[in-house]
Amino acid sequence: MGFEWLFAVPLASAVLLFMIGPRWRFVVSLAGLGTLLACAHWVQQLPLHLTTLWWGQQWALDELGQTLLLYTYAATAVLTVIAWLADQAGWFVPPALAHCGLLAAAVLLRDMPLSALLYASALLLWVLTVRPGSTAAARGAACWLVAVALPLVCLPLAVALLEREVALSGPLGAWLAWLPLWSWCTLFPWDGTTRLWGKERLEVGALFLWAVKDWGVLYLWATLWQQYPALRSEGTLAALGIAGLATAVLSGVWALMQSQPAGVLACAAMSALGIAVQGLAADAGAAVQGGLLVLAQRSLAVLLAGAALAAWPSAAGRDAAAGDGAPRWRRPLLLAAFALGVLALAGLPPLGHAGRGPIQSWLAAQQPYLRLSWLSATLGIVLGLARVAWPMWHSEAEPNADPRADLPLAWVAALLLLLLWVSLRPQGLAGLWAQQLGQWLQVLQSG
Amino acid sequence: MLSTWSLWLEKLSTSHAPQLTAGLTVCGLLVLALGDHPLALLPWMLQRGLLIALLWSALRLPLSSMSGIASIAIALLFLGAELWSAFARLRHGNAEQPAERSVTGWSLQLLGAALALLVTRGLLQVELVQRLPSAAALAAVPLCVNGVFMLLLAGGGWLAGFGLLSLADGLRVLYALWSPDPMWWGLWAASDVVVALAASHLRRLQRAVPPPAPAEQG
Repeated sequence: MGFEWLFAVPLASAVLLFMIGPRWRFVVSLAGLGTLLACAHWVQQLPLHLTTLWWGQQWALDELGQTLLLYTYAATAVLTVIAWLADQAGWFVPPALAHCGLLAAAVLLRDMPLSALLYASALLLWVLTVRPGSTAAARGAACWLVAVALPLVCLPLAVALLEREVALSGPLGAWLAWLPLWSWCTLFPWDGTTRLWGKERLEVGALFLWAVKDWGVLYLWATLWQQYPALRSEGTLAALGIAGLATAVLSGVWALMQSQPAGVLACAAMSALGIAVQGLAADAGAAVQGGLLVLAQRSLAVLLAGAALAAWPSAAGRDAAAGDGAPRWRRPLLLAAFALGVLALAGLPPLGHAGRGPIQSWLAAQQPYLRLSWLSATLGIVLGLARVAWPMWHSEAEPNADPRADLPLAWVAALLLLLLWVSLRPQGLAGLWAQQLGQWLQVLQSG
Repeated sequence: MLSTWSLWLEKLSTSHAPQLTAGLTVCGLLVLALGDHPLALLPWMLQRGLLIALLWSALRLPLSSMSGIASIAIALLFLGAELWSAFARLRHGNAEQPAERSVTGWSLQLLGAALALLVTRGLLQVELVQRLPSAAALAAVPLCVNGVFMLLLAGGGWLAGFGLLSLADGLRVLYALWSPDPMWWGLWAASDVVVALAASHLRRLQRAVPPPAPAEQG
């Protein structure tokens, strides 16, 4: 199998499943999972660092790209199952597969501007999946459109100018050095991802963007820095660190103002992202490892809390249908899973502290106000959680006697165990990274 | 036929460049002032047409025709979205919609347009901008500034789409200074169409969804 299968098959499958439509959600989910499994197999079979010329472009796969694709396939598979159980498979699977195909092309291409263009196009696909019925979702998608399309417009132009050997000096050079900040736009809190959820329940598409998007953008960052070392100026990294701190604090405090559980989860996820970026921009070994650990914990915590929210309506219905003497354990379990996920995002020990420790110990030496800033963010998230947990617990639900509604609980339990493993044994994950992403870590740490 | 048009546009871009540049600025300000109103599509399309005419002599024919084809596709997408929304309203019997823009909204749009004009004028005096060829600066700066203001004032997909595409047009003028690659130019035009597709989809959704409840966020 050649590398072209990695993007041809998911794209073709996406078109086919889109035509089958949402009525056959079981078939759509199964075919989607089969495609992802095949892609995961192919990406492991491909030789690393072997450059191939195809369609006038150079294509190659490195360790980081392989890891990113495997992570994307795994996250998409988990969310496909959640989407199937939450009756959203028809809307979710085709764009998710198309995203996987375009991401694979972006990862394999050696041409940076074309790669950025492809990935931004993949993210733009999600705007087309927003459904009518929620004004907030449509407005959020408009913000998302702006955040994704800005790098689409600016980044390829600037890199094309760099490739023409425009000297990185003078005002134009300084402007170009701010390029990573343009790509930061896609990570920034007001990117609209947080508002893509529906009013009543969490959209799996928004969950997907949280779980996958930032890793893709970070991959593009690392590739950009590898190809153009001049962009890694001290000023740019400092600006990224400040943007990370602002994101962490503002998002954390903003969580206090949310009245929906998905809103609190979104703000907590953004806050964790800001702290991870602070670690990655610190240019020091331990802090970079800590930033990556925070990102991994964030992905798992968002998946856990999001899966708990997606499973909430059906589980509440099952509890409501239980007899008078029967134990009603589903809602407490899901509420606990949601709270644990959000508290891990807030950085509270024992689950959320492992990654933040190295970042804090590195940055606090230079910035004494850091602890207070992080504490304010954590406090905002905890209070926001307390604010939404009470009405969530007392919400009414339609009785539902279908035993299949319990299936999402298995996913929640599996994700909970995985988060516990990552949080309590961070050294295991660090070892895995050193093995898989050694080259990339060197790029990030060689300031 | 095509060669006649091409010759006419080439002549126009050299003989009426100042008028075309002034037209770009005026059209951008009109889009800002009209905001989410469906009529904003007209000045925006005119702005796009003026830009193509202005760049006609500076670019080779394939590049100009790529921009022209992309512009037609974008216009069809936006027009289609508007017609679809109007048809859907008529079919569901709620053609009588309340006024979309309050007095505060209109005044905000007008203030935004005035501020954009001031910022444009200021930016044209900046040393870095003055290093650019004056024709390029006079075309690119208003497009970029108006685009950014449209993004800032955007309350939905319509104005956000116009803003993004105007900003892209401004950057495209700058890119045209460095002998552009046809492949990149084509990809850029294709990405414009993707942005327009997403923006028109959001426009349809916003016209279709019910008015927001007071408790709803966002």
